[in-house]
Amino acid sequence: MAVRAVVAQWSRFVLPLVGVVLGVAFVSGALLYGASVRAALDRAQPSGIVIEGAAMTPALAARIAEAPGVQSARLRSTGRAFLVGPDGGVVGPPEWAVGADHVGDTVRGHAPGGPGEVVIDDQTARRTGYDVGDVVRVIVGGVARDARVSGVVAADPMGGTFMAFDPATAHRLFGHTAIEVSGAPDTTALVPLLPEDAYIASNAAAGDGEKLTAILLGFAAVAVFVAVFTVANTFTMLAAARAREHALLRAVGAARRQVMRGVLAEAALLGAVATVLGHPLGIAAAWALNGLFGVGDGPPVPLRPFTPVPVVAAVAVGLGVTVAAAYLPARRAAAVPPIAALRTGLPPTTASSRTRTVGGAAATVLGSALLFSGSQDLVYLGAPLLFLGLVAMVPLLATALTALVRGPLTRIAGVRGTLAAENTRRNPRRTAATASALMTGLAICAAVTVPIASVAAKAQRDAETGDAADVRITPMDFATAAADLPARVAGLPGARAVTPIVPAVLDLGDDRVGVTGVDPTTIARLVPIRVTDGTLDLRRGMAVSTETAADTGWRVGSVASGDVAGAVVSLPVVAVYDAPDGFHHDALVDAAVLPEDRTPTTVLVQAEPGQADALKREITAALDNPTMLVRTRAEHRDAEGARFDPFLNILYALLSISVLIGALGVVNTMTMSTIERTREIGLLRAIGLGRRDVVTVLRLESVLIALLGTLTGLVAGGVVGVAVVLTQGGLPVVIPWGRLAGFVAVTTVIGLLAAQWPARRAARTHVLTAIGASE
Amino acid sequence: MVAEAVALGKVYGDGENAVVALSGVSAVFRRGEFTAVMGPSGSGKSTLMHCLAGLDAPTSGTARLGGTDLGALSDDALTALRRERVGFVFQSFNLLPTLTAWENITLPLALAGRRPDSAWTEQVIAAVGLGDRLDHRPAQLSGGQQQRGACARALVTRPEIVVADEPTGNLDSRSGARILELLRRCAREWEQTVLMVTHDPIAAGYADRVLFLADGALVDEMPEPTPERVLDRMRRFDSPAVGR
Repeated sequence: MAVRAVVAQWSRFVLPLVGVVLGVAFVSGALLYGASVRAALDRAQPSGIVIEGAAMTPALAARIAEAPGVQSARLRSTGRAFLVGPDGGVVGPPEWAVGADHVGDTVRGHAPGGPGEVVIDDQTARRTGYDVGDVVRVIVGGVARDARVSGVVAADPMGGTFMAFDPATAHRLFGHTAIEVSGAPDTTALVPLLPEDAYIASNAAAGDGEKLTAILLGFAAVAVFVAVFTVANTFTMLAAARAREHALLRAVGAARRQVMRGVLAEAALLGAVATVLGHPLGIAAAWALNGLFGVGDGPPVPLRPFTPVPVVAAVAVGLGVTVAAAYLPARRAAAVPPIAALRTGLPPTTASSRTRTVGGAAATVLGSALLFSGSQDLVYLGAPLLFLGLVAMVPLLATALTALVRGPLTRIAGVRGTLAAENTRRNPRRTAATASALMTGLAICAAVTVPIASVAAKAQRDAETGDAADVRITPMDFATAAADLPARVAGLPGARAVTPIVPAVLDLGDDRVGVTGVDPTTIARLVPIRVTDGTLDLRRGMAVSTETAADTGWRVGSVASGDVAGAVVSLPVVAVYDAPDGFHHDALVDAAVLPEDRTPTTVLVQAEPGQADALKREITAALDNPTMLVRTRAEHRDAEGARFDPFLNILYALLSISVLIGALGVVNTMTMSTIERTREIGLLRAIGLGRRDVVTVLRLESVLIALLGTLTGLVAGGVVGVAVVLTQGGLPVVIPWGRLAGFVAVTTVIGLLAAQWPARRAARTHVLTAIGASE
Repeated sequence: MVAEAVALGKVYGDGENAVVALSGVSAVFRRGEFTAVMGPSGSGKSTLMHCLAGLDAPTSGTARLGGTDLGALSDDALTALRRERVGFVFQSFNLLPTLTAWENITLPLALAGRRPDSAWTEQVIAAVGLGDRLDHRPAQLSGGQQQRGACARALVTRPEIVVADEPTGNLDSRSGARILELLRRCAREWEQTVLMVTHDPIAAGYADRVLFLADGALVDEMPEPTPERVLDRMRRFDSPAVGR
């Protein structure tokens, strides 16, 4: 019977089905892709034992080689090395650009024979078109140099850009960084041989795979949550449409449980179909993700789609969630009294229940109180509470909001506006359930966007006020600057003043203070420092910020003694200063006193007045190094503001599935509502509502539902976002109105599109057919 | 003359499944005349009304309203015609549940984007006796009140013709009588042309004349009808040769 009921009403099940299918696909896809990433990371681990750490010496290698079970212990030199491609940019993802000492065989050519030669991997060779004999540009330690490709080696299965140098060159570039152990030693026996700061490399990256799976599953859970609304709403609407059918069943002797079981059987069937369709879709999604965003940039690890965990999860989500979502509507359907079979007219619509509203209001108030209690932990409790409270209150909000917009809408769209507003509020629960599905995704969007916007605004403000540099040079992520970079830039005719920013830590034994190396002669011109005590002559000692002075008790004349990267220094305090927010350094020293291996993270440059762009071009040309980002003040400010955009975009992409399911829910509700109201629409058409007006009324109604969900979602998410910002002291609260307006625009379009199909159907129905339609 | 049917024919479906609903009906409806159309089920009386009101298109012949050939109009023009020049009263489900009585009554004006002519609207509302119920929703009105609201809505645009499809079919006899008196009054006092489809001889007795249809054809016309004479005429349809 369930099969027949579903087949007979298949069109009503299509949209919730798609919703559940997407939810199942998201869960399956997350698990499969996560497993594949994990497998790829496992594969990336070296097969033998690798010892890493600071103290890799030939003596240590010799000691390890003598340990029982060890066949050989070889010192290796590895580090970051970037290859400049034919387009002048860095080849491949910078995090996977590796250089090493050459060991093993080449597939063609020969091993590097000296500092002027390099070996590249065959994937890189294919990608760039470089081959044996070509002269390429290689960047190590911020220094770009030319080298001839002497040979090509097989690519690592992880992909990446690999370059190998002769062992002496590699040692000079990277130092000794690891000891590769072959044989089958007992690793616990090796540990006592190791000095304090050396360790056996473990599979640290595997945890990343787990984390990725957890994050993806979190978003999948949101999508499933949204799908639950759609399914529950469908079964509620179906129960209303079939109330008389159920009542008739009850009248002829069916028990409540039998009616309920019938409805649940339909849900189970729907869930089963969703599972069967959703899992393959998840496999396809994981496959696509694997291809697009593999680990490293090598060939992806094959998926294993029929392992137990993803299959069981797909069934649990598809079947379990659908049946669970249909449970309450099924109970309500079964509660129809047999006498309802004899009544005519639509069953009365249920208003928002008082308990629900009161409970929702209580949860909302309590949630807000927790959010603004000032404790970060309570935010995590308050946010879901506020959200659930609001979900419970949406029916009330739907009634209130539509009452509010009825007047304006009538003024704008005439009686069409009145009709749309009234239709939205005639069944507040249905409107609410539909809106809540959209609300969920948007609440999360807003809850993350507000803090990110605040952080970005702070970063931008810091970029504006932190220093007075016209141009700055920073190594791109994973790259380093050469130690001579400041000197080279200072030698350019257009540079009036140059200072490096070299971070280091002064270890005082019981405390640590950041000491930042700068150029004593130019720092005052490049950073608006206000000296409150002493004189800013860094050649004679150290300047400390007022905060640091307060923390450490140092004053002008105090002497700080400690250890900077292994070197013992003793620095007298010559000045105490206040610096702008954007320049947050504990203490300033002459960069020359820091150990040579400390390289600048930024170089600030002052240009001749109005010559910033020219200076930027001059520096870029002189460095000829794509790993060094040369930016003017405005570019730096924009880059700082946009730093979190990739993160936000990924977030939006993940949430778009949830929003899509919510949008399907709107289509679903609009379709069912127009079917229910066929006679009403027929009457309107008879007394003079045009076809286009029918479409307008339904569009307005659909947009109202979408906006209800959007606005409640954005308010809920915005409140949570502001609460999060407030727990982080010192962050300005910035509401990204532009982005929020963008969300509203997107959901308005969703609302318009959602009404498209139902509205066209309703407008096409012949007036007499519509009037004659049974109630 | 307000409305006219000229050799109106309507066939549903085609080939062997074709059903003839109207076969060549010609009739003229004069200004201020209250006409009842009667006939057994399937005689085509509703189809005739639908064709004259611009709800359905005849397959042959011509339907005219105030000189306009309805067959020449587009869907949009027909919609506008129904809104401005025709008033409808259906058997049931006449009012939109979400709107108040006032909003329902003035709905055709709102649809046309016109402001209600307040003197006329007040006169109509007074005539239907809903003056104290204007803020109520249909669910709060009795069946008779709902039908009177529908009559008011049909009259509010001063249409060229009011068509009523079994307007008393769902009402008790007292409420029904009130509706019929109202329809007769608007024909007599306001010169409103009214076309009513009914199968109730008592209802037909309120009309100025009765048209009798059988098997899609006009078979008789009775001026100045009384319920007894109409009943008598209807009985003749019940003979096995014609009845169904």
